[in-house]
Amino acid sequence: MAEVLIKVEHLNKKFGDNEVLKDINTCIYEKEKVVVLGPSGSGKSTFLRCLNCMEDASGGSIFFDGEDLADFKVDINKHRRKIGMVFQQFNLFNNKTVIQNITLAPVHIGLSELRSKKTRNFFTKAGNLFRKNKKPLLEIEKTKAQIIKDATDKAHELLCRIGLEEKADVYPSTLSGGQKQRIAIVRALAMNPKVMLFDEPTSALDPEMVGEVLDLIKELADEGMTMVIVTHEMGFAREVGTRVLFMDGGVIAEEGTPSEVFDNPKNERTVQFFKAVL
Amino acid sequence: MLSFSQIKTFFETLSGEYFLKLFFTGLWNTIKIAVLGLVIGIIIGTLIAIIKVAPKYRRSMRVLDKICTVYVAIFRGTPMVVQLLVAYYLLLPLLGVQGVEAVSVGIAVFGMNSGAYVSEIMRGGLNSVDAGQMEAGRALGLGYSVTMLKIVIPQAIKNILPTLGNEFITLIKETSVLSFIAIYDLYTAVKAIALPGYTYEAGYLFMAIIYIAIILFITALIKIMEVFLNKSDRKYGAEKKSKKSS
Repeated sequence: MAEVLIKVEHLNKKFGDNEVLKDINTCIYEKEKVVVLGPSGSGKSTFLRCLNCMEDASGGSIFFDGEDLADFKVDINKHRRKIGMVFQQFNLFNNKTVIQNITLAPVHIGLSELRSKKTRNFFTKAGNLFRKNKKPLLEIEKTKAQIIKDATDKAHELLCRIGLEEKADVYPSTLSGGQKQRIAIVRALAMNPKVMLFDEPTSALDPEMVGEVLDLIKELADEGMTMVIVTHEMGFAREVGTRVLFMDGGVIAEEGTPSEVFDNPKNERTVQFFKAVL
Repeated sequence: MLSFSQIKTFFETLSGEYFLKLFFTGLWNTIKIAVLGLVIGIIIGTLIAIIKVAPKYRRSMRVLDKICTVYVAIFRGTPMVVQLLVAYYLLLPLLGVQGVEAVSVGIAVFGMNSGAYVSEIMRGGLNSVDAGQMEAGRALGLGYSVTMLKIVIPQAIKNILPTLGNEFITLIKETSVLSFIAIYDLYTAVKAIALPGYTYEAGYLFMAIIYIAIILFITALIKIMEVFLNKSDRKYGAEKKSKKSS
């Protein structure tokens, strides 16, 4: 079996008295495409948002990179950089141009790492004046200009890939929904994430724009990106998914390969759901 | 009574070297105190607003939140005149501080007073920005404060600019209370100019015109800023396709 990327143990989430997730246990393996289905209010979005702690878990743990993300002491920002997320409402930064949207996070993170390295080197140097065994300095691989250039190059490359290069310098308000969502996807990709979370990526789109977004997601899937997708697009779920989680009432009611779940649902609730939507 | 000869007398007094200097000192003080007051107000107000909207996991945040509530209550609950008098005649001697210029006290009080009002304006502005903007920033691994500074606050400022302009105009006009702590602002200066020839009516009219002129100028300035900040709103950029925004 492939390597476990995210391990969810006894995940619990309450909003006040309302228990939205009840004791969820599952693993997300590398290169796996997990599709989360279920009726509205079943907790599937909340489950997805708990994976990168957009919602703090009320109980249980989420292991990623050997650390428990549900623990408040963990530097969540460091881990979120490796977990890309795509929202239903795109959430492009309205005050930034398309290219700035994509480069903002990589440039900011690159520069702040550079600064902290320089600061540490400064203290090591100062300490070395009094040390017999000189401590080695941290290696600085890139200068500020290089970080910015690399991020911009990468952003252009990604925009080229989705065919929106000429939109680099416009503001998101001038774009169509499908274009916004595709840019939101490459914005997440610019961080080189290990896993991508999609929270109903096509639900806010006009029907004619759904295709272009799904095509991009499929492309990523074929390249071997690990994905967790909450969606209502059954055909897409079946085509792309390697595993389906059917959630109902805050628990995983059924789990299996798409053909198992779609063709031979065992749980009564799953049967009902598919009868209604297919 | 206001008459042509009175206006003539007033301007004759005004054109004297001493009084002209006094007038410009007053004008300069009014603008200086209002502008610096607003700058300090925006800084204080933004800090308070951020504390108010920030998640309160830590006890330190809850304590800060309470302090801010008290601060806003005090500065919104008392008139500016009272604040000036208390600061200048009560607090300064009480703290044993000497040699502080009245103008500095004026700037500080105006800044702190305006901070209380701006904090509420700012809070409204921060709340008006879609929560998804913050989420998107956090999901990319940016910290709360970075996302706030780079994404949310710029959008909030765009939304609150008209209200902030209102606050600035109020501050300009409020400077007339500075005479209470013996600062030559526009109001006091013009009154002093009217004194020798007893030309108060002309003086008051002149004062009104100057205030209106300043405020019309500021209004125009805010308009320009709005156009500049709204560039991300409308169809701006290489292509002018008409697409509906969702």
